[in-house]
Amino acid sequence: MSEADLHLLTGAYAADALSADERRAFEEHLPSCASCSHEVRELQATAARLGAAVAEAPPPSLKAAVLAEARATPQAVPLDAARTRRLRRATTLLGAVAAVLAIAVLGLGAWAVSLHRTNEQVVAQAAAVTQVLTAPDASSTSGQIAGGGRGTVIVSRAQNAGVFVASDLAPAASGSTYQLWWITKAGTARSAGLVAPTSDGSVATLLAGAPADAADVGVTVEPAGGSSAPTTKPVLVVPVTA
Amino acid sequence: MWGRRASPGGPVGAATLEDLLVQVASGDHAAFEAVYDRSAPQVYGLARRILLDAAQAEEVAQEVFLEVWRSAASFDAARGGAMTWLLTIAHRRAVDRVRSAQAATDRDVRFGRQQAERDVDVVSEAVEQRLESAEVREALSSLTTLQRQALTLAYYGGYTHTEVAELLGVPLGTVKTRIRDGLIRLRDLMGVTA
Repeated sequence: MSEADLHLLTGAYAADALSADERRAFEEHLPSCASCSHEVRELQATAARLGAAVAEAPPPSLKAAVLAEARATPQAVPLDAARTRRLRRATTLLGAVAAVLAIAVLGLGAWAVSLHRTNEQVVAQAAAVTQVLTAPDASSTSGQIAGGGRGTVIVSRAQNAGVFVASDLAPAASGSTYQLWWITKAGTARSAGLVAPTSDGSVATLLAGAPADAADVGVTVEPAGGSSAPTTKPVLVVPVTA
Repeated sequence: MWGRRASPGGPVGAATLEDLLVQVASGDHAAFEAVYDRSAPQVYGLARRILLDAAQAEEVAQEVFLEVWRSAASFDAARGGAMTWLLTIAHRRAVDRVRSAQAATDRDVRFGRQQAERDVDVVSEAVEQRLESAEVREALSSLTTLQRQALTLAYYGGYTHTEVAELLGVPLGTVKTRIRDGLIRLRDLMGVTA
């Protein structure tokens, strides 16, 4: 069915006049079409007016049955609530991450000084990292890295940027490097840069590029110099929650 | 707003249906009872209109309220009113039920055509008899005949648009646009917003 045909199905969808297959196809189209979604909501509200117009008192026995059944039935945990809980967990993590990051940023500065480079790039990177971390909408997710260590991704949609922080990360094997990826829901990966841990295994780096439509951030081990697309199983994949 | 009418009484009585659903989402049985009291006639009435059979309508209404209890947390007031949410669930369930029953009895178009004529009459009468839905009645009566027939067969009769096209003897494309045009006209006449 063509896009134009799908647009015309808003009314039939709101009236539940589509077959099961057509309904599925339309529901797949719906999230990507703002004008259809809006029209569907309005037409569903309109259809509900038709529904309410034929109200009729139910038999009194129905109420007792419904209330008793509710008492015996656990409520479903909605996706939204699960997400809220994850966010809350992530927020409490943020304090810990900030501490790690402060150390990492200090390390970064010390490294720059030790190399006698008044390296504007490094300073700018540290400033950018701090900016993401302190953004009001910053949210973080963490995971264990296969091979050791813990990685955290902090993303600010408002800043359109992300930071990768890790601790106890083992050095990549000789001839290889860690590479960071933005991964879309469809599974497409965009490189977010190469990264090597410091001698104490810590990492704090700005992710190259913007989160855009990324659903996850992943880390893989790639041949030195990096790859244009992941070639190994990720050692870490964490969702971007913001 | 029709779905947000507050009724007199205590804290539960003064709450909107939207507020009550939020309370239901946190496991509040008193709020759930209040939701039932305010919406059972609409839910049951719609199921009855589509299924015709009182016992089946009662079963569907019970399924609807169980779903409301279980998934109240997925109600999002930003996406529409509470009564719309409830009646969208009720309509979907009633239609699914009537279609599975139809599949079982393999109803043919000949029977369907008689049913269709009867449906259009019954629906018109049912709606016209109700003073409180004068607005709906007037809005429906301002549609073209084909818009009104297509929409009432689909919405109150539970027919797919393909079946509606067969029943009315018009092309499927025509039915699609008449259902949509009809709903858009009703929306505009009644000033419905999402």
